[in-house]
Amino acid sequence: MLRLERVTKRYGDVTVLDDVTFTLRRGEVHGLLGLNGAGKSTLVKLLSGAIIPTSGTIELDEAAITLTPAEAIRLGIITVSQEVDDALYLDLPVYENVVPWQTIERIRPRELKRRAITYLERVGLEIDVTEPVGRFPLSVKQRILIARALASDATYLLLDEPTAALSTDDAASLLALLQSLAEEGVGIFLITHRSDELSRVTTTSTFLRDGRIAYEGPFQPLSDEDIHAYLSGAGMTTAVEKATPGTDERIRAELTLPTFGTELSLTAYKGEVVGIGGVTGSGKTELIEALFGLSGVKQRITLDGKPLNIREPRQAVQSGFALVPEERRKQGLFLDDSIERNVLAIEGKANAVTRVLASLRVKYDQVGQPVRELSGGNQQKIVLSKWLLEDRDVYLLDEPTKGVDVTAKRDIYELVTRLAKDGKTVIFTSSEPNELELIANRTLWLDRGRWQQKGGV
Amino acid sequence: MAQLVIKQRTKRFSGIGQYGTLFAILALIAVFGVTNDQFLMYANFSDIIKSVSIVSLLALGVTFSLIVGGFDLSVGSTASLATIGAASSLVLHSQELLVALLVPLVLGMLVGLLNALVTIKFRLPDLLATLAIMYVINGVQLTYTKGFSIYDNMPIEGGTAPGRFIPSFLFIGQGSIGPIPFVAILMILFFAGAHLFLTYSKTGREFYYVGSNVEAARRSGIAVTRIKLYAYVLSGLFAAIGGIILASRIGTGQVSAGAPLLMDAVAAAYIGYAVFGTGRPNVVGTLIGAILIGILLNGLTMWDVPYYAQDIVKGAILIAALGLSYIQKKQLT
Repeated sequence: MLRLERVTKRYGDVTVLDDVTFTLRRGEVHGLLGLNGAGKSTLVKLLSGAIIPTSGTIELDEAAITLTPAEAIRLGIITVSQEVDDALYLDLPVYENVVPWQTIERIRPRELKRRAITYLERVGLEIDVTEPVGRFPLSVKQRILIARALASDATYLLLDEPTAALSTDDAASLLALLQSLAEEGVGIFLITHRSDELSRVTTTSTFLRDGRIAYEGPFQPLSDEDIHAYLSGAGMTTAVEKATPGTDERIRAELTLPTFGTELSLTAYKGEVVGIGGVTGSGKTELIEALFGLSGVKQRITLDGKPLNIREPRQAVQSGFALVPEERRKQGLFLDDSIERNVLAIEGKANAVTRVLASLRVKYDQVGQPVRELSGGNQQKIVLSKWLLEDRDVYLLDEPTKGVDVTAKRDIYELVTRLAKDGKTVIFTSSEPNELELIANRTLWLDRGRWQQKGGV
Repeated sequence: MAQLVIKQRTKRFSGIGQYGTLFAILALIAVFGVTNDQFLMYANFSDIIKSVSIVSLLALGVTFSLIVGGFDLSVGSTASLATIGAASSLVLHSQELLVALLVPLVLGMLVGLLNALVTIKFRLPDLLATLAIMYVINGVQLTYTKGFSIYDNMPIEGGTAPGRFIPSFLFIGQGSIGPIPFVAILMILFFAGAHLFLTYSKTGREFYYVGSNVEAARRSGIAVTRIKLYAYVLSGLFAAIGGIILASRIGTGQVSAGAPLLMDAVAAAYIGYAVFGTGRPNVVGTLIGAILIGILLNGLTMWDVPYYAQDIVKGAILIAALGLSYIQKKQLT
């Protein structure tokens, strides 16, 4: 039994987990649900020893433990993160990736290969163990990591959205594997956005909302309304007043989605907020990037009836597009530069900076402060700010509320509505149906590069 | 129900990487052999092996740094420093063999420690940091010698130098056991040792883990910093051994003698990436790379290609080797 007992985690004055008590038992598949910023990844990080709680204790079989990454592995608590490649030695052969380094006493390749093959069999892999791992697809890499976990005697396996980027078949077979591991006595902790998965394989589910546990129990009896209420709470739903979209067509786009190679078309009106929903790997980011000229794909875009030829971001900016990229630290900010320089990165006058920052309620000491020092929510507001000094026609916001706290989220929603009321067009992607329901006039769902009827949770 | 078992076959690297280097060596030998009757003589091969042994040891050092994801550009000047250290011990201080070996070896390891300090402790980028150290070390050996080479009976203040290059020291680079040059035996021993260490020892495998994915290595409890330190110290050590052989072979302590060897060593290590189609630095590949370069340079010299034009060929080889390793790396991600 792996247990968090009244655990609180704070970063500065932001509380990300608040007095959480949670139990993961061996032999169960335990689902974890929560909106972006609800504290899911913090919970996983605590259990994997990546961070330590501000207060409260972590217990293993009733005994208090202090976790570090190495200690967690020693105790058989193994995490399979979403970034599978980060945990693998891509250029080394499979067998060296499977057999955990700590358990090797003497290096005898033949013996190591034999051990690797037995563990790979348990996860249903029949592959050449001398091949470098980097040459296999994601579904195989994930299983290699799970095989490694079994080889280090995993008693608890934590998986962060393992099916997000898998095909339906691969996802189903992975879930079947997880269930069979649970039957062998492994405790499986599964983060996922897909309700079909939760109702099919989990024995228990925990819902997190704003750093607190909103529900704990079986997932199957819950109705869609229950799920909605547990995830977003009652207060949030009424908070945003939507704008009424106009009738003038603003943008019409037809393009081939990179990675997927599928044909997509999209139309949006003046003053409209279009939600693009979908889980990680559904093609949201690819769509946004294609619209902004980042992927060099064939596309036909008309803006206010005028045909555009956007082959690179510079042309998109000149045509009146604004982009808030998914990975703000890597793609959206000059982290070591000052707030002022970041906001003025596109265009605009210095004296307008403080006004824009105030309108977004950015918390900062002075405009000369490096952006790196700000919290996630405030950093995101800086990314938004740089597009607010000059008028833009189309705002492409890719998961703008990811990793952002609740108050900042609300400020972002308000901004989106304000932009729409000013006649701007906002295209807003998210993996949270509730969020899209809250702010979008119309929501389109993507699944593996194609438009879908409403899916997901 | 989806299928539970995944069977996956992957295609091997294309033949160009797999045996290309070995073919290239054979082709070169054939071409040079046909066009020059001296080329296939025993004396010439013995020459090639002697020069290959020096370059290959520097390349071995570079390989260790590459395996852990670093890059040691200072091996050339470390070899120079070792050459001067050995010559100085023998000629200026009349020391015996043991000292003449220990001094350069310790100097080499100190350079390795220095490289480790700037790259690990100060976190400077390996390439630039070791480039800076290369200049520093080159300056150190020039300053110590005031720019003059050290040789037997050289004039010093109040007469001539007291010591000389003793026969036991000269044997290292010039002697042979039966028909086999002693340096060939040394080279094979060091390479075999390095290969066995990296393939079959736990610490040796850790070098590869660190170079492949530092974060994953750290998280599986590998002492990343210590492994990188070892790699740089080994790199300095092997460069110093190369320097000792160099001093012994030419019988003088020539200033900056190791500098031109750097490019050859780097190219040898990168050719090594391609040899077995594994796309990662490896000791056996490096040895083959060094042999390839040795044969090529020897053949070009026999064709009367001037040494300055040979730099063009060396540069081109390095680009080709880098290109090949880049292609293989791309297939992995």
